[in-house]
Amino acid sequence: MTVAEALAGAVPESAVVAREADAKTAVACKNVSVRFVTERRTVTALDDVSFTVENGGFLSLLGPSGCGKSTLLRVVADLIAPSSGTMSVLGRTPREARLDRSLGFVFQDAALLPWRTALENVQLPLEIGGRRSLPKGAPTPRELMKLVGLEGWEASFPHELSGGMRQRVSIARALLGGPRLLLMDEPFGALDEITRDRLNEELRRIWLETRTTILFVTHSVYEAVYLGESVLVLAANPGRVRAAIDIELPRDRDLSIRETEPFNRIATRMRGLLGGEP
Amino acid sequence: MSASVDVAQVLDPRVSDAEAQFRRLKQREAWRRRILPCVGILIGIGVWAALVYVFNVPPFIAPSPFTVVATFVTKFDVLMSNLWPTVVESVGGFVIGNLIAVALATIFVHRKTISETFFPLVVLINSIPVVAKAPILVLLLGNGFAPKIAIAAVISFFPTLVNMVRGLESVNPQAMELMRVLSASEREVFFKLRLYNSLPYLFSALRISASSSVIGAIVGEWIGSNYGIGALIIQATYNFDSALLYATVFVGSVFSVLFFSAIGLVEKLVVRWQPPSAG
Repeated sequence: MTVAEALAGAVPESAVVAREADAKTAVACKNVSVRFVTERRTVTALDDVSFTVENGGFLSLLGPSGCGKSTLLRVVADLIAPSSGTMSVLGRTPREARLDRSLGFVFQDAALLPWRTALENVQLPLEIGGRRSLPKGAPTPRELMKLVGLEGWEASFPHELSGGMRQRVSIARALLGGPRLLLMDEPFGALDEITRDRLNEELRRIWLETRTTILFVTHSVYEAVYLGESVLVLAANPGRVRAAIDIELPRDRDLSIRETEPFNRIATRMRGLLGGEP
Repeated sequence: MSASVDVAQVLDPRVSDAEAQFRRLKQREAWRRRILPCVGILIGIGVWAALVYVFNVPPFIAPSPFTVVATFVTKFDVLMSNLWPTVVESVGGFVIGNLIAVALATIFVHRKTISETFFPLVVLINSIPVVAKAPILVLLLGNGFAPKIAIAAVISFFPTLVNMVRGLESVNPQAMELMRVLSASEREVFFKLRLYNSLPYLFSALRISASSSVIGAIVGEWIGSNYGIGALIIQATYNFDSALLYATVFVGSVFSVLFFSAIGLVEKLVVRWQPPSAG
């Protein structure tokens, strides 16, 4: 069994029932609004946002800064409670999904613990919530390091790794335990373009191999279109859905697809949606 | 991938030449850093000796370095027997003061009400100068070791409390969110994240309080004591025994520097990662 097959099959027993009950939808977001009250004013970060992602899907959340795309991701992860509306994650509430360890989260800065080696960072989730053991058949931390292309760097400390490598470690950490939903908040935003391109290709590969559902926040049109099976375009002030677009490109794609006609047609359309007045 | 590159580099004579040159430069730099300060100190002692000789300074005002060395040798037993009480007091105060500070910082970080109630009081107490706090503690605790240890503890306490609170609180917000995604308990957040994060902050406070706890113990001995470095300083001054005074000050400073360096050494062994602020 390969690492990828192990990841795809590593679902805790308790989750099987829930999965059968709601086999098709990974995330269902209905009329979700989030408001932040401050002394000076009340900010509507998200206004009446609805969308769904199928199991095994790859949704890019695309929008300018301030459109609430990171906030939306945090509502899915139960880091922020919605002011109104309902969010369903893997057929349960976000809280239940979080407590069940069904989620992996990749942050904008890799958020590695600097006193732990790369491998120890990947192992961290096992030490939280009482000592946990990996679900049967799930890939080990070492296997995940290999999956993200970091075999041989296990003993390195974060400050000895490049930005791209740190982000790979954080992806491996998020994949530990075989999460059914991977949430990524502009993970490649701080990287140079060459590294970003390479990681984009690898993320597509990891997604195809693991069949994990991914929600990916970005403000790059190219990234959103290349990575996603569908793209949710958001507008700012207040954050709301501008359009939901299915990307009709072959599942097996490499970066050269960005030079093709269909890709550019979609990208142009998306830029139009982003540039248009409200 | 990287391993093959490294092997190729080692085999390349240009690379190994450059590495050898780099090591030589580094070594020279290291020697410079060791020798130059010693040269500075020697010049200082020379100027001191010259001044005492040229102006014919009487020994009850200032000794020449040679008499200090002579006194250091002849009165070595007296100096050492007075050093030990000071060592016990300052190290004891250091340990007690810092333990209390770390415990209180942990409580402050987890219970905001307690922090907001008592932090101003702590700041207020800290604003009283040591020389003013010392007599109060002597009256309270008598004439033995206890008041000196207490003064050293009080003086060590504050910088550690402040730094420890900052270290426990200044965790990366995304690491905090990660802990939440993993449904970590407050205890796990403390032991896996906050505590490690605070260690660089803690050690910079410990280095400060290592030297200040020695000051605390000596100030305590000035106020009421027949033994210790502080008492010997007072005695030597009243007897116009300037050579003994200087020798005592020297012994006290050497101890203070050793204490400080020991903490730095422990820090190097414990904090092996690069703190985020430095990167």
